[in-house]
Amino acid sequence: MDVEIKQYLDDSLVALNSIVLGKPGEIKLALTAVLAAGHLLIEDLPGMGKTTLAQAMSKVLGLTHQRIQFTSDVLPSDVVGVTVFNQHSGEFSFHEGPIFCNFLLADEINRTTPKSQSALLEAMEEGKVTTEGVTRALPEPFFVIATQNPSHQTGTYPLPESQLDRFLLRIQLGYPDSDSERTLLKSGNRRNMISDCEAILDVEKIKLLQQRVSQIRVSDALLDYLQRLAEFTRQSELLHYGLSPRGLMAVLSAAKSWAYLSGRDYVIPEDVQAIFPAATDHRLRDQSGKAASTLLSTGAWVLTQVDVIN
Amino acid sequence: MNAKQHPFGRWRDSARFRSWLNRRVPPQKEITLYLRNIFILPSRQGVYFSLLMIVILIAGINYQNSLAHALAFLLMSLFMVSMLHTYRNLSGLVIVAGKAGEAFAGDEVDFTVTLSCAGGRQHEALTVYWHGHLQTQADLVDKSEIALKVRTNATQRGWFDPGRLTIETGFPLGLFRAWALVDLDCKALVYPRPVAEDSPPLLAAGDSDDFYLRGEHSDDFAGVRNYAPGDLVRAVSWKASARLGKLMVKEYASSSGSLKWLDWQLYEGVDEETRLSHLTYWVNEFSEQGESFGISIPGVEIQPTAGESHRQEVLRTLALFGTDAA
Amino acid sequence: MTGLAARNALAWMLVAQVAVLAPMLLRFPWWISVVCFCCGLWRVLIYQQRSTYPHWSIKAIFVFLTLAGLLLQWKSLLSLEPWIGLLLLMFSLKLLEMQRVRDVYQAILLGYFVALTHFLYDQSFLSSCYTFACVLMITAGLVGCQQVRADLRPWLPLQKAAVLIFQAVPLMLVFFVLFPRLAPLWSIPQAGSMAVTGISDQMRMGSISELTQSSKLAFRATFADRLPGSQSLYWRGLVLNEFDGETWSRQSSSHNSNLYRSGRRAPQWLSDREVISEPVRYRILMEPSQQKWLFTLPMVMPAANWKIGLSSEQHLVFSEPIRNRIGFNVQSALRYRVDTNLSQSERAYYLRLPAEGNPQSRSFARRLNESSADKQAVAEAVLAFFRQEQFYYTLRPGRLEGETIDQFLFASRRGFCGHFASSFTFLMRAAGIPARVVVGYQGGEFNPVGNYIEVRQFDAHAWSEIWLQGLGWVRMDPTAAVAPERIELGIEAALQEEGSFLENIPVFWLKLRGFAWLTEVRFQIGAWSHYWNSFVVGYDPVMQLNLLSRFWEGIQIQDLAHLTLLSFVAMMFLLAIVLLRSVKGRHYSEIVLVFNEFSALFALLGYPRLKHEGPLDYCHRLALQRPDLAEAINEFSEHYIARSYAGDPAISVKALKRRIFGLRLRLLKPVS
Repeated sequence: MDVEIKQYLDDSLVALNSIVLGKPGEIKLALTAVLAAGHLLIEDLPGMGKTTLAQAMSKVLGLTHQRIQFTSDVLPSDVVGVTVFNQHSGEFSFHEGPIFCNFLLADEINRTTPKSQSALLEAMEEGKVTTEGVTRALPEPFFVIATQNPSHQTGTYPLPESQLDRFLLRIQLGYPDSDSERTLLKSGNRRNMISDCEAILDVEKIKLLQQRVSQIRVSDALLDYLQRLAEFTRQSELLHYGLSPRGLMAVLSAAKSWAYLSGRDYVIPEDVQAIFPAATDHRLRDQSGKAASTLLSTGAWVLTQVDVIN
Repeated sequence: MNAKQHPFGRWRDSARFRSWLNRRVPPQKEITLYLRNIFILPSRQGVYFSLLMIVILIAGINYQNSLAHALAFLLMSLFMVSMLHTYRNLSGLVIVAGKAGEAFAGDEVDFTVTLSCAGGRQHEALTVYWHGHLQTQADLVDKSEIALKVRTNATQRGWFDPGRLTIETGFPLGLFRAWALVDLDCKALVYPRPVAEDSPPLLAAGDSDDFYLRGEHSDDFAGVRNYAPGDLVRAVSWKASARLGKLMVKEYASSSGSLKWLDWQLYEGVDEETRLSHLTYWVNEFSEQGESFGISIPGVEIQPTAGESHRQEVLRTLALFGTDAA
Repeated sequence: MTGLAARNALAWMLVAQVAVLAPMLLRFPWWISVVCFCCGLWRVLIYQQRSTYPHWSIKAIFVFLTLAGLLLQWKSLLSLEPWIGLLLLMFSLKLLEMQRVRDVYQAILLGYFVALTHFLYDQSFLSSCYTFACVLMITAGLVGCQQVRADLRPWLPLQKAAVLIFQAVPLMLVFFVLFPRLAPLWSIPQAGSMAVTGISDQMRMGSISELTQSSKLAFRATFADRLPGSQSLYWRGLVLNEFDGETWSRQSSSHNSNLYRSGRRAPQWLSDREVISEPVRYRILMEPSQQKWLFTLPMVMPAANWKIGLSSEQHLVFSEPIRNRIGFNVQSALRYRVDTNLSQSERAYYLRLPAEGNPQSRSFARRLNESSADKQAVAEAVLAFFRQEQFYYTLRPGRLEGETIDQFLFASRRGFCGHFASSFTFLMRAAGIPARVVVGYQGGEFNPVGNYIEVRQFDAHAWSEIWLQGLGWVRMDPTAAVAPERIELGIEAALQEEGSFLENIPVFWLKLRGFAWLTEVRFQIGAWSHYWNSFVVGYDPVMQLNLLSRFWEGIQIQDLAHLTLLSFVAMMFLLAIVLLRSVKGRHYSEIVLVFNEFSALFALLGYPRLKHEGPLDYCHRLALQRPDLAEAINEFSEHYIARSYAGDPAISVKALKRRIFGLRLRLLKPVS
């Protein structure tokens, strides 16, 4: 059973890699977020394949999916739904918004107003929606992939730090390498490929996988390493603020899924290192880029500063 | 706590002493205490104790009392052993400068200092303080690291150097006092002292087009609600009304308010420090209310936005205004 | 360092204070105890936060009252007691202002001082142990002042103090043995009225019974070779030669005030001593008695110590009251003849009686004298009288008033050694035989563990000596005539039926003499304290030089000073090494050390682990760099990761170490 379920996972990876070319690490991170029951933020310039990845994932994971294209006039009710008066029955009824699904693709989340952003993010955090005093649970599992443009682009409302914290991982796709790009150019439209693609996983399987991940073993030695990392971010003069306990928990659960994806039932420091930049870059802020050189993100810089074995 | 208690007393401030200390214990981010940077002398109690020892010995000699001799010798040995223990309590301690807290001039500023043991020893009853300021007690027992907040007074805005940190201990018997004076080479950014005033130096609306336009759009569209008599016709959402079959009214939230520009130039006949103090006050006020604001001081202009990091950036600019580090 | 004292410090200080005061209070007037108790109670109430610190005026009144009390009690401040009393009171009053850490320090210093005064009164083994336990508790108070941990358990200061004292003991022993023992630097007030124990130089009818009720040790005697039989264990202390009708006392006169000390010119009487049997050699270790008398077997030879004088009445006298335990070697000829040529004036001296009183006894003596053939027969007749008439040996003789000798001899006939010796000597003098009362101890208990005889106060005894022509002074013990078992088996046997032996001492383990194992324990403890007394308490300048000259011929006091300094430096050095060693990095867990060993090995080969490199990454890199070792490296990394991160218990640290060893071997092997 265990092998079988793992096989599905590997198949999903292969399928995703065939659609989004040249990004195996990012795809693994995206699946990591799913297995850790966390949300994913993809940040990159337009046209880098953010939406493609998100769509492909929704397809492969076999989850009911919705998409919201955020613009500046999207209202919170457009996200969570609205209560309307039904003239035939003479009663108020709730029209569920797109958020009522397993897999929500929130495109260009930083184009909309903070009000709508927070409507979404609160739902992400709580797993439920409260409108007009009625609380409605979202389906399980509930998974959000949000994409955003780099915040220095015009017409954006950058997500505040408190809301960024709700994303387990933030990844950047970046330009594909030349081989992948060439394949892309040759094979043409991805959209058809996505619609041709078949669902490999489903809700039950994902729940099972998530349960497996939660059983991954974590040794004291590894916890020591995690704590050293957190302590470093808190003590470093070059960072504005350190990693919060929630941030550290996020690192741990992401590391566990990564370990599972890598075929281990225990976490090793390399798992932590693999997800650390994605899990912490949006949670840490260095003082005007002092800490991280131009080559390293903040999280990656932190990794270089902390001894793995101590 | 007071300078009198300090064994170096008056001359710890003398230039000769400081330059000697700088050569002996140079400034470092991380310092391990050992023979070279630990000083140890009998404490006042220690002096009394040795007098007591001598009196007991004399009593033993005069009364030809063998056990009084033994008692005197035991106390003497205890004295010597406690010296070793007191020294040991400091040696092997690693002191690492951490982050300084934020503070306004005239307030107290916390420096984080991390103590850890390099020797796998226990270090008990350590007192850590900046000269003349609040003492912090710490123990390193059954753990290898502890982070302390050591407080001092921030006197001036800008980069504040607290001087040398004292780590001292009398453990276990208090007969000796071992201490180290370490310069951790750490600085705290001290913001100008906020000084309240009645109205903010806000750039009037219309002075900047950018400001004006953004002000209009900054009201968030929050949703629709049922029409109630008295609502402006202009506010009726016709689209929603058509869909729902009754009159709905658009609602705006104005939580973020209009954008504000704090402007240095609006003060006249006020000296620089006072201007900075007033500006600091308003930065705090606006940040507390979550309002967006921008600031313009000579040489620097920061675009209006809100949030913690924005506040820090602005305060930092104010703190370093006119200093070398700006 | 100021601020409120930690509660732990206070708690230990209070405990130590009670402990250190208790034995002293027993030795001082009751009102001092009352003051101490009140202060202690008040302090406990403050500690429990049910009371507050007293106002300064109250404290001032307290101080005034106690000072007045001290002056009233002792009248003068020239002796030691009022000062010790003052110390005790100040120590207790300190409680009421023991508020800040500084006060606790002062109290602690006073506490050490009170501990010192214990030793001025008692240096016995058990009491010294007790005092050092007090010192430990006081030190715990000192530690408590320093420890500020919130999680402090009350035992921790004591534990720390114990460690410190344990480490201090070797250094202390060095000082104790080597530090030059000096003569007193100046004369000091002695504990004047410190209770005089043991035999006094006066004997009323019945006064010895107080001694008989005490089990305190008087002295110990260690015999060099053989032990004399119990009948000859008459430890002579002093001679009472004057009778005033009620009390026998000691009068100095030209006849006996002349002491002979070794090295002085021998007086005339010294030549009138004849040794018949080979003298026995023994060593006496005397407890402090606050008197000058030393106790020896007759006939004692002059002692070598110049401080010990030999009186013409054949007993030894110390040059000053015995305030500390002293030991001395002596010899005694158990068979002897002394003073065979007693001068006429001396003969008269030992015949003196009050002009009148006890007429019945006088006429009885006269009658015996007339009916007997010679002087010895008179003595025999008196002894026969004691034996044949209804005389009882008892510790409850009842009170005698007025003509005490008459009453005793012809009416009550109940008494103990004092009564018998007193009346016997009276009868002898009345009969014209020179006679004197001798006071001392008789018998003693042999301690097989320490191989010495232990003489306690209840062994106190009085007997007579009469002078017979041609024989000199002859010992006569009338008590033996009445109760021979007193001499042969000891006082306990003599009083067995009566049950009055040690009856005033409620629970005393000596009463449990019937149990064999208890006796064994008692002997053990006795032996211990004997060694303690001889080698620790009795460690004086003479013993120090004797001991050390065994190792260093002709050692001088200057050498001692140098030796002390040298050993002190050496000991400190040793201690410093022990205490300060191991400053070698942080405390790593075993498994981390193993990996560090592994990476150190490859660092030597030029592939150090980068700080941020995880074990798997590092091993992959190593495997790439050293394909020849790749297999071993990968195996190691697999096992290490399984152990450290997967928590696989099957892989032991030892096995990992073996793998490193294997790698080392392979690296050492020349490339084939």
